[in-house]
Amino acid sequence: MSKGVEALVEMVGKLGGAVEDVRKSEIYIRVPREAVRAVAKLLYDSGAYLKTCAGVDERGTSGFYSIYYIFGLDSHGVDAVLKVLVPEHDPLIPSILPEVPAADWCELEIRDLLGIELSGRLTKRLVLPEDWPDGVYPLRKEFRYDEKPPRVVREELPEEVGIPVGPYHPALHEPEYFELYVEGEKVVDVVYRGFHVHRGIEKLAESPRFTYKQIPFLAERICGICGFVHSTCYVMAVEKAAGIGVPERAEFIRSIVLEVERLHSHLLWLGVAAHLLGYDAGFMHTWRIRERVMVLAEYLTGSRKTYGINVVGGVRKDLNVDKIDKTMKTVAQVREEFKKLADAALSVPQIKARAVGTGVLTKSEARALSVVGPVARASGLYRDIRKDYPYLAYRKVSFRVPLYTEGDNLARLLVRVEEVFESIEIIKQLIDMLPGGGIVSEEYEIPPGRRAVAAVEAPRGEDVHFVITGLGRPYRWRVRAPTYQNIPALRAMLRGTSLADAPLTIASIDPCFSCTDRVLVVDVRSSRRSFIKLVRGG
Amino acid sequence: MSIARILEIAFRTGRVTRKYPHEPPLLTPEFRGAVRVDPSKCWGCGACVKICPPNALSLRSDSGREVVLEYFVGRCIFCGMCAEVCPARAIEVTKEFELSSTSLESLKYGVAHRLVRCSSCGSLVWTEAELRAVIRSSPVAEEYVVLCPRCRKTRFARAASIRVGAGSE
Amino acid sequence: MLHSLAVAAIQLVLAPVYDGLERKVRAAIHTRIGPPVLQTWYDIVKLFSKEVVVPVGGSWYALVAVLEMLTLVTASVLLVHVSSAGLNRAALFEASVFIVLTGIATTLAVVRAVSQSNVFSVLGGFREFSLMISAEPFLATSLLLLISGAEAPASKAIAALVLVIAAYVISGRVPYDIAEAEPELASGVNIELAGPLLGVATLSVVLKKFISATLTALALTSWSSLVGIASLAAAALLTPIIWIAHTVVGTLLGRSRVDLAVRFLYTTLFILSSMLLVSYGLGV
Repeated sequence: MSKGVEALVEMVGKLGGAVEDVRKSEIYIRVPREAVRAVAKLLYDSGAYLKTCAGVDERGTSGFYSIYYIFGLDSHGVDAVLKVLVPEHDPLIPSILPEVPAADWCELEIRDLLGIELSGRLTKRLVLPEDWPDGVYPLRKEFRYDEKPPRVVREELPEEVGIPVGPYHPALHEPEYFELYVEGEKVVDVVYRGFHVHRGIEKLAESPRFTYKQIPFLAERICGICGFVHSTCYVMAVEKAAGIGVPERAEFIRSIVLEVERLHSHLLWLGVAAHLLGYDAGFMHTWRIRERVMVLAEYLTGSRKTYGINVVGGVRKDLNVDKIDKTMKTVAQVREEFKKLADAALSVPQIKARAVGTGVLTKSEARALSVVGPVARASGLYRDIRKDYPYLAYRKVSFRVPLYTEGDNLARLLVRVEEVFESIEIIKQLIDMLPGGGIVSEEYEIPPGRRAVAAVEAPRGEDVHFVITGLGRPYRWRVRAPTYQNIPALRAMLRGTSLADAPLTIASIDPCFSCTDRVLVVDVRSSRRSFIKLVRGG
Repeated sequence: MSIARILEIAFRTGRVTRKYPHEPPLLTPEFRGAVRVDPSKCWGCGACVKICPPNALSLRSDSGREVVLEYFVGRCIFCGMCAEVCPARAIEVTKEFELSSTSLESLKYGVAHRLVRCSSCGSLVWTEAELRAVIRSSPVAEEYVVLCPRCRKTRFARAASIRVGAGSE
Repeated sequence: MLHSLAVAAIQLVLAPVYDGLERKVRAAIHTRIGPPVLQTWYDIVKLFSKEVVVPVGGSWYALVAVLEMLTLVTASVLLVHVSSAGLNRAALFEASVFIVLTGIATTLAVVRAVSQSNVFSVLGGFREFSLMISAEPFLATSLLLLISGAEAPASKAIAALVLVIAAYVISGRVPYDIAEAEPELASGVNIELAGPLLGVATLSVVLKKFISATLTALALTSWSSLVGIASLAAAALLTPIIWIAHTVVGTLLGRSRVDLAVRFLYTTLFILSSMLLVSYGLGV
């Protein structure tokens, strides 16, 4: 523990917190229920980001429900994990939302899925579908993973009044729903409804249907773009919890494939952005270049996407001379071609005209919502998990983190353009330093009751997996995808922007709705709409 | 006019889209497609079923005399874990990926195995193929192999007790 | 009359073919194979083979879509007359009617779009209207000036330039495809159309491009003294070439936003028109 962390822990102690466990990159602190808001305020005001919160049904082991709040102390590279015990007969926690605006969704999710009520804030159903019965909480252990509760028919929804963008809309490639309120073409308010494609993956992973060895493949299917991030994050969490040593070569291979994935993801996004701006030539050429990356990924892993090479303890596919050669050639080609293309595309007058000053997210808004990834870096927040919490082989490479302060669509676009070049440099360095040796350690044991937080910098920002080990499979596996953290910022970005720029602004966070929706379905519209003010300051 | 540079790029690149499926697909040597189970090698042990993440492989026993290892390619995620764990090396990862079909049944492949009954109690033990493989690979006395685990334990305990003279019967 | 009908028929056949050519050229710039040259025709034939779906709001809506297309056909035929007259005072009447008809066609499109309860359609209609008021007055002024004898080279050059720009705007290509911007408005003005009605609307779209190319050809040949068949032949030859030039321009640019587009057009065209009036007044 560094001095700064020690001082912080001491202050938490004065508020009633008791340190449970100190690990290399995590500190677990038990906090009394009454003190949680004060502790959250202390941490948030001291510069910590909220990574996520998670509810766990631990009645079987400790007799309580546990709520975990994961705060990232980015400047120290340490996670402070607060644990609050909630008795079964009184399932209520004070909301930390007034102190930590970023806690909005994860608190509601705990309420929906675990049935823990929140005091001191407005609540509404966020994750569970409208026809889900009241009082049935899927993450409680007595709820079977394949149980289908009877549907509840509720009254008709009131007629639409805003401009619907979704659930099916040409600018959105997944079923999500934004309702835009406009004056003329100017957006004055936004309502987001998501979780249409929730698949109950977290519950499924705790079920007897899955084992530790199978879950990497399930995790990889959380997202069709950054699936490898999820499988890496899961295996890292399990390895960290169980203390499994991974061969260095495997760490390098994971890092290389992660950067290959970032290349394809950023090129994909830049193509989509060009398309949304009506510049289809840019779209087609970006994707043409991206195709080289896809072919490379297939050659390295066996599959264009959902690579399927992560296992607990290492990776399944090794690199050889041919693969290294092909990698170096491909990234050099991509670099050269993308450089030319980016110069041409960025000189198109409409791209500048429409991306400058639109969808602005100020630094204070970004900070309040703990946004992640290129969205944070475009709003002046220096956040990159690869730098803040170096994992795998990232501590051994040098690279630049692009930072812009404008917070507009152009800034988010430029951050991604620059990251393409940085990723290429990282891949080259990793290949140069690739150590020898094995790629997987087969001998390991995973004792139950261990906990770990793992985070990986996905192309869209920080991906967080929290694992509590169980017998043969995790006792609880919590996934927090980057988009989950970034969507609430859209409200701030869209207000005041032109309707024409709404698709680009929505796209500018590179939303991945399937990632966000790992756990559920639609929210209900109550007869009166009440909105929680998401953003302070600004 | 740097916006016109895209014309130069396009001219130099030429045409990249292909007339697939009229031209062959582009596959790298590492590509993983559907798997193929070799019925002559498969034991029906179920190791692949246990590892298969999407349940594309399953063991089905309809009659009680037979067990069928079924591969449903519609659920397969082409991870190839089954081939990795197969003790008989009966599973091969192919490069086949053009698998669409108008009939569901044509997406299912089965390998049937006859089951062997325990020579002592008559309960179903394992498949004939597995039995043969075990006999071939380890010098276990044949009368043990045809017993179910429980009868084997009983018989071993009895034999051991006779040998050390602790038998009470 | 018969002659005009033949011209109309030829245009109706050619316009979708030129559009197919446009798709092929755009595909080449995208490094794609692209659809066959007759693809736009295949699309139209397919759309006409579908059942008629009358949009919400009744059959008059369908009628407006057909009327809009017929108005554009008539306008296009009139433009050929203007062309064959060699762009001089003799064609002043035809040119005036042409201008009125294009105005009517756009108005019909706007009315059709804003009368729908679909917000995307309404927004598309308003965008169409904004473009109309920022391009068509300049188109009218420059065309009439060219016809009624802006003889001085400076006036002529500026009038031709204004006409070329305004003609590009009414072709509805990027950056001015904002009325039906796919990722924003999901087809906007045309969102409520399906089947044969969408076929009719598709014809309207390609006819507008045809008119746009012909107008540009007129502007470019305004220096020549060609009349009659020679003038027609020049226009017929130039039209596909200009069409492809338009395609290339559209492919190199991105989509504008309604406020940006209106501001840009007004400032550019207003400055040019002012220069035109001054030079016309000075007789240079």
